[in-house]
Amino acid sequence: MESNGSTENHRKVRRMDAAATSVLWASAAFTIGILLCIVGYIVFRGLVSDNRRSYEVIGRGAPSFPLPDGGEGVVIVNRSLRLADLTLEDVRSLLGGETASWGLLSGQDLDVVPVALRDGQGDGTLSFAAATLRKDGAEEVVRAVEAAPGAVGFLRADILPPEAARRVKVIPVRSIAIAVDPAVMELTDGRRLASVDEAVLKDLFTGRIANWKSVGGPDLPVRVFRLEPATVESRGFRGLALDGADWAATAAVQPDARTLLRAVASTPGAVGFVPYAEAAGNAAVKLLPVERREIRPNLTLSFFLEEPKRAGKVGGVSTIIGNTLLMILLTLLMATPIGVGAAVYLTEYARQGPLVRILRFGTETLAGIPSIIFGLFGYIVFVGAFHWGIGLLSGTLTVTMMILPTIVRTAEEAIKAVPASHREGSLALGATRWQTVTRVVLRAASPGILTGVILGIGRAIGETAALIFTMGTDYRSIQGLLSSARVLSVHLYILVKEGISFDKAFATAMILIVVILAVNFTATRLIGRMHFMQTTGGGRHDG
Amino acid sequence: MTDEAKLRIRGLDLHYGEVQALKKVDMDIVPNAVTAFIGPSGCGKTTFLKTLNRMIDLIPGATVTGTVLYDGRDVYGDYDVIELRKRIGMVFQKPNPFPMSIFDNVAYGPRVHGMKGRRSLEETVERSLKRAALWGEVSDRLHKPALGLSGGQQQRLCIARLLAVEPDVLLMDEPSSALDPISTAKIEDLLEELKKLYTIVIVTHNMQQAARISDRTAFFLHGEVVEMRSTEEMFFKPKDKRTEDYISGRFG
Repeated sequence: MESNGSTENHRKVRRMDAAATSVLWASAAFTIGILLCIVGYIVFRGLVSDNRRSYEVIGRGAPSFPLPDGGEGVVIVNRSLRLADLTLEDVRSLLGGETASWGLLSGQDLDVVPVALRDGQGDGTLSFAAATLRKDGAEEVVRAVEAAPGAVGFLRADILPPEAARRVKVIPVRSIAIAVDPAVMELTDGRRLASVDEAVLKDLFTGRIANWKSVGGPDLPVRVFRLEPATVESRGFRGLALDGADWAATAAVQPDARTLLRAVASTPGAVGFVPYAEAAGNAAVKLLPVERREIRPNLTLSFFLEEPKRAGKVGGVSTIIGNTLLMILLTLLMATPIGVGAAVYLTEYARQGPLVRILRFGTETLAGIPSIIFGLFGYIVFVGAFHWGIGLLSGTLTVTMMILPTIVRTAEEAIKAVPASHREGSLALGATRWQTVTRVVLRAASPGILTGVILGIGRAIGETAALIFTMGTDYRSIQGLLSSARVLSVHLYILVKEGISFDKAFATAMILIVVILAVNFTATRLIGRMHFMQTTGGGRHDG
Repeated sequence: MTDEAKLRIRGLDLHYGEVQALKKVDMDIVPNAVTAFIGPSGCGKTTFLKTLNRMIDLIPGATVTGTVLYDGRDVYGDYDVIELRKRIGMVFQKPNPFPMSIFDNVAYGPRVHGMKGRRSLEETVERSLKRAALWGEVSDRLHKPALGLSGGQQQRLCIARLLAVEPDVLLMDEPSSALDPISTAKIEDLLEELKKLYTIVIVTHNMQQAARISDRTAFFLHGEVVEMRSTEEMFFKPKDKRTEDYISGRFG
């Protein structure tokens, strides 16, 4: 009986054991899973910009765009510009001198240099008022566009030199608009059709969607109008928007854009495509924006290398990275000697009485205080009382105060962990206390001290709250000790808070992660090297 | 004999707070010989050893009265403690090499006493390791971590580290108690060689070791020196009943 009971008990214990193991495993897997998800998401968003944007003007799948006289035009830009395409509107204002910077179009801080031909090479719809007009033919336009970084040129397609594509970028121009009966985009039942997806557009024109209701519009039948199949728009639109699929059987063919617009304006639920130039300014129809999913590389090398411009909407973060590294460097230069010195005093010199206990409790408490409180202190004391203003000095000192407790605590633990026998050995050789501390104790404690310093760096890099009011938000390179300077975390905060750009915010977050990874990696290597002498160095040699 | 004593201790009392650990110790330690301290645990022999180079100063609450004369000068008088410990070095029970390379361990002492220059340091390190009978085993890996050595090698490294500061007296606190018999034998052989150059004081738990290596032996009990004589006399003709009891194993 008794042996039975004990077997039963054994089984029970083993079951408990297995259950405990799986609970522990689940907690570990949960934690690691969540962390991986977060980091993975930030890395993904940092590397890839994936946005839905809606456009009133859509492309027609060809680099050239139609001119009202029946010819074709092309837009060429300098190779340094990062552009996928432009709308006819953009081209108009670029060449017309209304857009002065590429900032909002390509995200680059470059001045627009318009280049175009004179006499009859342009057309009535484009205004070339500010364009540098060229007499001497296409070759000269191409050369001018090739030479200036922000240059944009316009040529008739038939005179574009054949080898030009290697020297300049031919930018596709979106030139088609979707005109709808204004009733389609009116507010009905609290809903309003604001835009449609590219896929929906295809379904509309192939006749698979019969009623606007099914795409979020009013209860109106879809009536499709299209241009003659022979027109360039018609061919291009079918290729791009319909993927070559056939038109809806019910689609009414119109001879030209003007007729089509009239038909759309007078037919409830009508939809049709026309050259944007024809539809723009026509109050009888509405233009239906088309949504497009744009997937682009987000964090590129240029983001590291370029200076931020226009509140961070344009350009990169090079100066901010510089500011951050400088802030970290100065902080470490101040915090490490003071922190380690304090730890040495508390552990090696001070009498271990109630005073030291109180000090230790104090540092422990300070290490857990929210950083905004240090920020407040820095603002009152450094910025205000000392009249240093918001700038590098105030910010660095604030962060130094903030990470000191961490460095002191870890350094203390590391120093306490050095065996007393090392100290005895050194003192017994006639070394002074100072020599013993600097040459043996600190050396043996250095991996632990470095761990504290890394924790401090981690806190400093991620610090935002304490820095906004003490170090400022100027994203230019630091000019001096008192100049305001923006660091990565503050930049990230401002990008999100001001709604400047989520893509840039994620790219900045990615850089922060990379910087912290780099610091940790270097430190691990350093610690490894320091540890080497504290290990057996591989393989004992007994003798 | 007493005239040529290296260390002359008179009326030494030591208190740890209220507790008296050493009572009126008088002793002469002669040069170029091995003096062994034996006695049961807690009898004060290690404490006494530590008073000789003032390592006892590191223990909070320990107060020493009486005199320790080293070459005629009072150790607890105006003697500079740094100079004292350089002259009277110590080897501990457990090998305590620093977490550095073998070379840096041996060069540590000379360096803290201001020796500079690669050549002179190298010469010192080599000479010290040779005197500690370790050179042959480590000469090809001087820049490897000292903690990679075996326990016995580590202890000889600690002896070499001590010899590098050119001391006069070597204090050894059970230097082989943490070692295996082969390593112990090596240390004992080494002491035989070293006593030609240095004055050696060794604390040991192992009476056979005391008998093998020492020239004079002191028996400690309850903080007092019961008896001190030449080792031969001590082991064969102890005068005091308590010494005889201890030597014959009656103390347990």
